[in-house]
Amino acid sequence: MAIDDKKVKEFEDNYREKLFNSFRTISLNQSKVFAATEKIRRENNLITDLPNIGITLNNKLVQLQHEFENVGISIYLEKTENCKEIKLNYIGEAVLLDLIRYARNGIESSNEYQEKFDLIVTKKLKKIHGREDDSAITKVFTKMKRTLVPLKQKDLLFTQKEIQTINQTLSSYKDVDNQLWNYNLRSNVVSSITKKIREQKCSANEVPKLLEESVIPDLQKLGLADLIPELQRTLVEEYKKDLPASEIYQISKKDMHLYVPDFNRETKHTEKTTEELHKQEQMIIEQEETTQTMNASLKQEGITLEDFSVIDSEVSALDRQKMINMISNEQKTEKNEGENLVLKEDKKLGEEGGNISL
Amino acid sequence: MKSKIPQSFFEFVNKNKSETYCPNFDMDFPLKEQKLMRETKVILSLIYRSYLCDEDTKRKLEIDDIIEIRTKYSYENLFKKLN
Repeated sequence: MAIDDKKVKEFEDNYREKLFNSFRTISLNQSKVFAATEKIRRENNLITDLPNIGITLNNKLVQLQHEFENVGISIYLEKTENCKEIKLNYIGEAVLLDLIRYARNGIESSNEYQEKFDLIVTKKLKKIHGREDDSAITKVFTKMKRTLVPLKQKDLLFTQKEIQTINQTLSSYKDVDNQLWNYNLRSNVVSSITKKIREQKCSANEVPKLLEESVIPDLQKLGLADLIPELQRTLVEEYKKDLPASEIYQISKKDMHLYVPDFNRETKHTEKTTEELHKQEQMIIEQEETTQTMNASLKQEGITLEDFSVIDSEVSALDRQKMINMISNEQKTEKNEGENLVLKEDKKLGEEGGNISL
Repeated sequence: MKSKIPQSFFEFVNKNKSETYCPNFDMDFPLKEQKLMRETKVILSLIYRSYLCDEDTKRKLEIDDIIEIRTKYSYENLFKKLN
């Protein structure tokens, strides 16, 4: 049963609202951080014109959202006819994750700035008020000393080294904000999609199908079809990094598609006849249906194929080999016992005048 | 799912299972979040590889095992550990 359009829109509105609310929180926090230290920054000739990365993130996403809407697709959800489930738009999600990555780097720079700034200011305040763990008498003497010998202006100002340290963190913050604002689909979408595919640990033989179903149609609508070869090349290079060293194991040509996406695999099969292709398509459809049925039946038992896959990844090859050896030894023992039993029975029959079989 | 696993496997398990062992699964939680014994995980892994995953996945997992054994238990690594 297809999901109601109204429910899809409701989900999308909810999702968008939560996203922009979180961006608002980021921008409020950033404002507080920089507002609290603005006066001291001015007095010390530190960088003062600082952007708010929360606002940049918000505005960038709105801009990209319009780009998607202009070609009739949503940056948030994948809309298909008679859709049975709500899915996030693959490219949209990849782009959003990348934007959030930039924002996170910016927030880290801003946190680093805050830590260093606080450290420097605390040191200077200790000169004025003494250390917190000083005894009461020491604190009184420090106050008296300050009254009689006032601190010089230079004692309160940041040193050249301190200014350099603080400005360095503020510069990296500004750089990240700049990179976020300059993000555009043409220059960055290939990298975003590659990162997402790698992060979700998509197996190499599934990548061509994933691109065909979830990426290429939208890239074409966005007028970025010319980036498809670059995307394929980038993915091939990325997956090649995971190939084992040839001295450990040489992956054969036949198995290479399991490790490196082979986008030409379909064209290699065009030498087959139409009937053979049809048969192959039927097999693929049947295999997919069997997997879906099996998944559904597993889910009823509270298990999924993914559960099996996760558990499998936790087991070492050696443990598996030991278990296989153990099971085959058991089976051999059972078989020998069975044969001995047959021999004994036949011997008995032989004694009683029956046929002996070996 | 059961149709993918041959009857001989069930017979083997029934023949070799312990009559006194009490399994402790809570099916309200996903299997991957439960504390399973090492041996349980190994058996589930073998069931997955032998009967449930598709041919491509099976082949890749076989190769990955060979690579893992050759990498972890190569002579160079064993001697490295001794040194």
